[in-house]
Amino acid sequence: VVTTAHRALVHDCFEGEQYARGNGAVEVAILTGGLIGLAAGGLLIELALWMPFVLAAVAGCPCSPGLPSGAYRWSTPASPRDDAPTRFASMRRR
Amino acid sequence: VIRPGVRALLAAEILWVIGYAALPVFFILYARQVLELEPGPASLWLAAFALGAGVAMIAGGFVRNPRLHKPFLALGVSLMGAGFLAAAGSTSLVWVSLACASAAAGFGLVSTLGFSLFASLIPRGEAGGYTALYYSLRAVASAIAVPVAGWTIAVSGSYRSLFLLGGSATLAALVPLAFAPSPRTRVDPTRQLR
Repeated sequence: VVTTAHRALVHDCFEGEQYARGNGAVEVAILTGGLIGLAAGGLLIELALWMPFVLAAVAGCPCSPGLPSGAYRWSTPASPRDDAPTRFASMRRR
Repeated sequence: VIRPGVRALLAAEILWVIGYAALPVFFILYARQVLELEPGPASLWLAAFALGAGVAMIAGGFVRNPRLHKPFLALGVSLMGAGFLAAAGSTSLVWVSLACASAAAGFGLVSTLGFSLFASLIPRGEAGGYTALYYSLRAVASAIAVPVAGWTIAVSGSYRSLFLLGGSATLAALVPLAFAPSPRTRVDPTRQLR
């Protein structure tokens, strides 16, 4: 669900010439997070078997795309592209 | 109703995912059996592959013109497929390193530009369904790739078939990719008014 919703945001929040940049940023973030998670999991499991699972559960909580900005509206507009407040660019301007 | 050209791009995606998805799973065994590398150095190769792919992903993000997404995606598929086949052709560590560098660059481009090209084909208001289709097929292809690679190794009796299968499947993706449409640059008339 998170993967699908996150990638759908790339389509809805960027114009065509920015898709590669947006998707590239998402891919690099996933790759970096995966590598960090692998290393952190390896270190934590040496301390206690349950610790990597707790890290996985806690780390995902603040990652919702809307939470960093209170400007994001969760209601879906009739035409997302015509509704500037749902765009990342508009969120930055606020 | 799925837009024209979407099926071709999805077929290409299935093939290139089958090409790469099994490699991390079997690479440690391949490195031990064929390259005579211990798991430690072999895992460092995997990390180097990830770093190379990350650099290529960042570079792929600079391809701003949507018309160039398809040619660069085809370049990425070619680099990845050729890299896998070249890796299967030698046990020289230098040669395999160069082949894996090519594959990593290709993988980075494919990861960034595959969905970028697909996103340009998504009709307005249907981002969720189309995105789910793209990533669910990627998950299905990943699930298929591992047992297919395992059976191929078992039948052939050689771990080299892992890279042969990966390279062949990846290069085969160029055929359906040729039928995928390249986006036309759209001009949004309301953009200057915002």
